[in-house]
Amino acid sequence: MRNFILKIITGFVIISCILYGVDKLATYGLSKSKFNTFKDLNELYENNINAEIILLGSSRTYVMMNPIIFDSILNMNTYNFGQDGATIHLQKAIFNDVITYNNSSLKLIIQNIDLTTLLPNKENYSKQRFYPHLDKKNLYTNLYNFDASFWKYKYIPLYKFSSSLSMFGRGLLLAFDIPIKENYTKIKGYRPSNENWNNDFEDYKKNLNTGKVVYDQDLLEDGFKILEEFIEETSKKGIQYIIVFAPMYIEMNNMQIQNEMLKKRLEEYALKYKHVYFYDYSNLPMNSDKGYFYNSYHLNTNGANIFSKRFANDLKQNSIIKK
Amino acid sequence: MLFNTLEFALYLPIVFILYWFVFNKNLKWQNGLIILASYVFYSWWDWRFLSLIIFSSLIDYYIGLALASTYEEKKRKRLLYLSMLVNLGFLGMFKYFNFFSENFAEAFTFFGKSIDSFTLNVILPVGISFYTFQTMSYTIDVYKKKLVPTKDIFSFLAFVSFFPQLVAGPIERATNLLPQFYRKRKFDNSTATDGLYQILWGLFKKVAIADQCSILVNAVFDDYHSYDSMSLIGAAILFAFQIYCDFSGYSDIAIGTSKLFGFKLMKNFAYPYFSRDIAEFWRRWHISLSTWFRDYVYIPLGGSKVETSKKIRNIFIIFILSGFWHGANWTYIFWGALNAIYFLPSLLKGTHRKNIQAIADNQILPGFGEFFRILKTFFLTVVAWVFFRSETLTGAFDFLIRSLTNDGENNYYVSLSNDELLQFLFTLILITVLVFYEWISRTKDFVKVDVLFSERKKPILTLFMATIFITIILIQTRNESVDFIYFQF
Repeated sequence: MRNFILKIITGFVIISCILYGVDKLATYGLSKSKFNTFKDLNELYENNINAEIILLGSSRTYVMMNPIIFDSILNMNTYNFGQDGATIHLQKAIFNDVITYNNSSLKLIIQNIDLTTLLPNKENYSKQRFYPHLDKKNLYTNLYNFDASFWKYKYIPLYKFSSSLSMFGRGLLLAFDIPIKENYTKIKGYRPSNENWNNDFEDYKKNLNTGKVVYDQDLLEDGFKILEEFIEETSKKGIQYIIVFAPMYIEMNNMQIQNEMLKKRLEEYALKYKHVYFYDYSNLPMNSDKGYFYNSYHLNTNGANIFSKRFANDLKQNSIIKK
Repeated sequence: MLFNTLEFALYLPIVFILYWFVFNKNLKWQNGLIILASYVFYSWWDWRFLSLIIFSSLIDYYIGLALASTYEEKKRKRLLYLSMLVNLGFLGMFKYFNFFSENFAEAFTFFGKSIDSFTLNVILPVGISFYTFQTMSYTIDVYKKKLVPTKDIFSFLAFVSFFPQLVAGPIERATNLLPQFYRKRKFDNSTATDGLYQILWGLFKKVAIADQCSILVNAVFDDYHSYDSMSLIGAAILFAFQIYCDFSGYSDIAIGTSKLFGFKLMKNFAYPYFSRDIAEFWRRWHISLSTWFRDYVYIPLGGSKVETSKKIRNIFIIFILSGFWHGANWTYIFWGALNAIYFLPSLLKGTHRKNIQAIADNQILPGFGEFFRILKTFFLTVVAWVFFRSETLTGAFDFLIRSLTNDGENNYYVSLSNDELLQFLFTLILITVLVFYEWISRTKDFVKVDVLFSERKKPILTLFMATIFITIILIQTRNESVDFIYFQF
């Protein structure tokens, strides 16, 4: 029995050391990756972002706000940190690091807010972009508070590579500086979506019995509390904070009956806090034209460019940016 | 609790330590721990259904005692029927009631009358088919006086609920497992090490192969109209590996875990895809169920020692029952019947025991004829698996027809992303590793990762191979643990 236990412990220790070593190596490789999934945060933690304006939000920021247009109109370096499926809870998790590691004096944070952003949703978002950086204490603590399952990715060796053989291979190859194809098809964090209107909205409506969308008010209130934390922290750090309700296809906008309440609350924040501004684009004429959208929630590239131009010009005309 | 979860990875060492270091002084305490550990293991899924196991165990325990104290044949028969009624009653209510009710209603519709089927809104208790058959075998053996009933209730409860094999077998016979609870278990270093090897191999089969195959298999079977012939054939072959690796993987982990606690469970799989005919396949596939039906149904019906028409009847009965055991669906029944059709020619020609010697005995590779027969048998099982996997009988036939007629020009090919394609190719490589390891281990009880190494280099190379296999298991792990297919039976 003693021999067996000793054998198990020795085997366990040796295998664990090897697995941790391989994990570290592949994770280190990923931290050098320029691939779509990893490049943005890798650049951030390398202090290479240098942005004066940072765009935050879910996929509605990610695919609808083109930083190049903001750069050219406002003449300020802009970077898009929007993420598919990221609710305000997840955005909060990376918010501090976005400020800390951004190697420039950040002037403005623009954040898209809508009802679904305020709801806690731990599904439908990609965890992978965080994997190379789970050793950063602040990021890990925030991510763990948002989704406790992050401990597995940090502490169980190779678990982060589960079912992603290509990510594992990519990490190992990059760790040894072996050149591989690293597609970065985004533009400063923004992903153009050159697509036409699809059937998602029609399918969604079919499954909706009442024709109206109502979200749990208590959950929304929790989201508002986090939004208030954003307001507080940007105030402390002297950063202007712009909340935007980006274009949404008109029919969807009308179906979400709490949108009016949301916009009223956002206006109240703007009135109450000097550094907070609210821009509402829920009533643009383009919102009735499916040609600018690929689904009810997201503008296509053409729509995103038109909206970005309009929004950046509005910011310029209102002269709210402290130079 | 699933074997392929973190919970089990923590649970197993805890039970192991308690078993060998805390409760090792007293056999009753050790059996008590097994009962407790087994009930916790089962309750992890749904504690309410624990009452079924306990009830079923107590009924059979007391009926066993009553059978031993009764000599009057009529009374003994009544006791046996009572046990059958309770066990099959549970099975019927939870597993088959809705099937019969719906088919009864449909039969009326066929004759022009319409009645509403009455269905029960119940969930199928995990493992019910396994432990029910296990307890029934005990009562039948006691009734037939092949077994002396136990008076030790702890041993009996532990025998019925023994956690490694509780929910998906092997379906143990009381004659093999129950006596092991009477004896003090001694820890054996090499048996326990073998157990660990077997657990590792089982996890490799389940996590690295079966779960990965399931992604493509589910995609194709759920939408088979849209895929071309090659994709359908590929999915059918992958399903053959999925179901084998899933179920035999579970058996390997169960047998390996039992070894850690000093128990020897029966072998459930013996490299079935190397079979040279269907009869051999059924001697190598889900052995504990096949032998159950052989001993408790086939032989009592006369087996093969009866006139030809009865032989045919008997074969159809056991194969159809075996299909029906898997689930209340016509697809399973047809799968059973199809296997009976496959089996019949060799039975009638008297060649069903032709292939009992080792495959490619003393040779590295099989001869051409043997290889061809292995391929033919595999092909037949793949066709049968299509019925097993499909939702409906018509769906299964349609799938098979489309496997020959869905040419690529008129249908769109399955479009795999680069990541999926890489994953698919890697899974194919792992299937090759599986076949290779199984082939070189075909004369052994189970696959050991150190099979290739000489004694001198064994420790280091074994550690190296174990590391590689664990790495593969971790990388192939799906973020959500995937249920074992046989849990639903």
